[in-house]
Amino acid sequence: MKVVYRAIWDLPVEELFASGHRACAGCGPAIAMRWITKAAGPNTIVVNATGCMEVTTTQYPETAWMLPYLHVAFENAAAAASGIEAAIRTLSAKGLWRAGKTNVIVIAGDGGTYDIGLQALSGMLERGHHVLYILYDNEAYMNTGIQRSGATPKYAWTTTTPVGKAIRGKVQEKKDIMGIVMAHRVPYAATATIANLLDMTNKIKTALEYTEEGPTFLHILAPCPPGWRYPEELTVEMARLAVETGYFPLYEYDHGKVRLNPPTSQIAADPKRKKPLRDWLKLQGRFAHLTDAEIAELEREVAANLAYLSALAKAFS
Amino acid sequence: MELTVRISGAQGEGVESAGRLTALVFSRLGYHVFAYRQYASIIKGNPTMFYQIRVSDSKIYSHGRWGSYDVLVALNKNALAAHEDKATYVIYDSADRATPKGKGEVPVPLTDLALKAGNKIMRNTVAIGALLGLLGVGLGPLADLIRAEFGEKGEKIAEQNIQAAQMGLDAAQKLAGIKAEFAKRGEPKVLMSGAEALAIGSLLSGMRLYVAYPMTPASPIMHFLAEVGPKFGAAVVQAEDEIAAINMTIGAAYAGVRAATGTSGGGFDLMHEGLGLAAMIETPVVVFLSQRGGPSTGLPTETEQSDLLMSLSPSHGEYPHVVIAPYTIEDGLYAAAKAFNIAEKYQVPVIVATDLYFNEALTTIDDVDWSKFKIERGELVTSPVVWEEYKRYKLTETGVSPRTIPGVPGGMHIATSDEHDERGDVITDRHVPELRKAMHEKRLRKLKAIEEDMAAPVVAGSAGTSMALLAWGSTAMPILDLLSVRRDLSAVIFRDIYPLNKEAAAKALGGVKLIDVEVNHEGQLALYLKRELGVDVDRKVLKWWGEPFSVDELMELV
Repeated sequence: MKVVYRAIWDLPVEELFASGHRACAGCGPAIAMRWITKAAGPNTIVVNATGCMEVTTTQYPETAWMLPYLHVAFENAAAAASGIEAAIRTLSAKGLWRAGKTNVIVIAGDGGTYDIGLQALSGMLERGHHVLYILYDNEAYMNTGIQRSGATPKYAWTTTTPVGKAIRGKVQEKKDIMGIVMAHRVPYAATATIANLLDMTNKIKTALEYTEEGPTFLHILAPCPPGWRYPEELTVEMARLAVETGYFPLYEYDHGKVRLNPPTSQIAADPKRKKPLRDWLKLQGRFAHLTDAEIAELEREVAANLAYLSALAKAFS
Repeated sequence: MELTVRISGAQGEGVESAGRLTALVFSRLGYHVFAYRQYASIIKGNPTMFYQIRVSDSKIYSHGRWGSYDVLVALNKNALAAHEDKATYVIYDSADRATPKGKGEVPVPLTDLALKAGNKIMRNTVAIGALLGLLGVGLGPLADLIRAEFGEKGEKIAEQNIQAAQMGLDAAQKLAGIKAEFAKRGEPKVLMSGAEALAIGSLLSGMRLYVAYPMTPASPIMHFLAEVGPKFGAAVVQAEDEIAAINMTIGAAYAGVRAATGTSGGGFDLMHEGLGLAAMIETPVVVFLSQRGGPSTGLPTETEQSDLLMSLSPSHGEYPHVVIAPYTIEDGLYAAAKAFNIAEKYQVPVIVATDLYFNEALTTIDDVDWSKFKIERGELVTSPVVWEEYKRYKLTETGVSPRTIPGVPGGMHIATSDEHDERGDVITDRHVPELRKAMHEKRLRKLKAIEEDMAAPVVAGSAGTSMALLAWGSTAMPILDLLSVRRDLSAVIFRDIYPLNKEAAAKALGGVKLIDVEVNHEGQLALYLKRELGVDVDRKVLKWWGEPFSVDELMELV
């Protein structure tokens, strides 16, 4: 990661994501949007998939986006961004693009990325478009009424993964979306959260710089109060704990090399520094039904994932 | 005795649960209830969303009036300003307006009383308490509902809520007295939404798999089935998109279980290719098409009936399929039953078209006609057949061929999207016009046979009127209510829409002047009937701005 911002007072002051949008109080994704737009700067075109960040920011006749903005359909944000990037390239070749280096950023939720938009994402990555794809992950289809997605963690309650004796919330594990993206051998992909601001904004800067070479990808965890069922003032805390408990490791894939970032790197090196997963789970209504055995199982999976990523980092250092 | 209540506030402020609880209270007391909510495509915000609850001692089919209501419960200032002029009584938070402006105002300290009961979040419970106090209902049924909702685990919260409601009730009665007497009228009635009716109807019809992808207003079908379906042996899968959803449904139906999917316009667009595949391999699938304002994302949380013409001809090519549109919420139960039977009997895809108004409205159901749930599986062969002789796509008079499912000895065949012969073998490796002609005609022949199973349009209202309203789907609901007061009118309601039972339709439409009433811009049913029967309508009364017709509105328009 290139360190552009060393401390929070280095971060841009200019706001490009206006207040007054209709996202819920304590919305994690809205925090992500604010810092993405700040880090990217005004010479940026945003392509937004259908989702919370689309419906709450574009209530006619208003918009929260102080940037050129395009929304087409649920499944094709990556395809639409490919087209914009190709148009900029063509116009530049003809000497007709006068805006200089313009960022093209996709902003899509987990439903629009893990599920319905995966095909378009893969196509964009394969073709090598100079686009930064940002996945803001709130771990379910929140805007349509909290339905599970490929990003919903195992055992989480959603309206389509109800909790009973036989079924204990979501049956499947969360998809390894980073693994899928890394398998496309893109120049850069990284995870981040809204709680680790400097880490996140520096990764946005790095990813944007690398779009010179080809597509880049960021996976940003953005907690959701109504969907995860926690008090809205805990959003940042929820993201922080997700990292500190090892649930959401911070790492980057940079030209074939895998690197764990702090605090994940410290947790991986010294498991005693890892907070118990229970500390994070117990704050969330979507996990309220979990038994000790189920928590222990999730804890083992977290440890296994950390071990896997450590091995990757070692093998590709 | 009739009552209309509007509860308004910001999304996320508790309007949803207050509305539902109020509707439930009156259904428990044995009244006929209809409830409908208007909201926006956001989770929190939109300060003036509302839930309108209509209560009556006679059968009702719709939310009734837009122009006036008996009581407004306003949970915030904006809601108060937006809706108060049409209300006789207004319950609001005394913190929002210090001194009442007019008669009928009932300022209750909603926030203060909620805080006193333990949590500000219970403002809506205080408001329901005030409403029930004003209406002379008492707290019994509400307390039962609250206790049931929170269960044993939430005993403390339940008691706090009941206390909050009691304080609201006392405050309202002290201020305004009791303005009506809604005593227990009879046995509790079942309250269900249109989406629930479709889901329950499907379960009663033996559906064993429901696959869908979230999309308003079809999602409630999936929510309900995810919760309840497994208890009745029905699996529910949330697929990664609508393309997967319909293809999974086809796979399950091919394997022999009754399967369905559901979506709204945009998702249905993605299903077109699958629908053609189902028709080509003659596999019975049911698709619940829940319409909302289009095109594109359109009005995601508002109603419209604009997908009729699309439903008549989705997917490319010519092929048989069926469109049924339930016209009351109770009919949602039967439409589902019919859809599964027709799908299997004729081995075709069946579209059950509803809309947001239908899916999300709640109403009480009186008697269920259980005789409508006979399962007919058509030409389903489950005993061994001689493979050398077995023709899965045999040319028959009706176009329907014997269908085996995987595992039936001798029933092995190819099911392919390519044109094929009677045994299912692909014929696209050469030019065989006779075969194509025969197979294409065989499939389309089914439409003729299905036509006989399509019911005549429902003719409602007084006999011998000179003017009849033409309608389909949920628009029939306010029309049925209108007919109980307008004896000069009748209505012709199309429920089994495609293929059209032409003879019966022509008969029902003959000899009267027709007013086409639809929630779309083009008058799609009228266009369809003109095409099929050459019928002209006298006038079109259309609406396409996201709200259903109301009875008072229709009174003026027709």
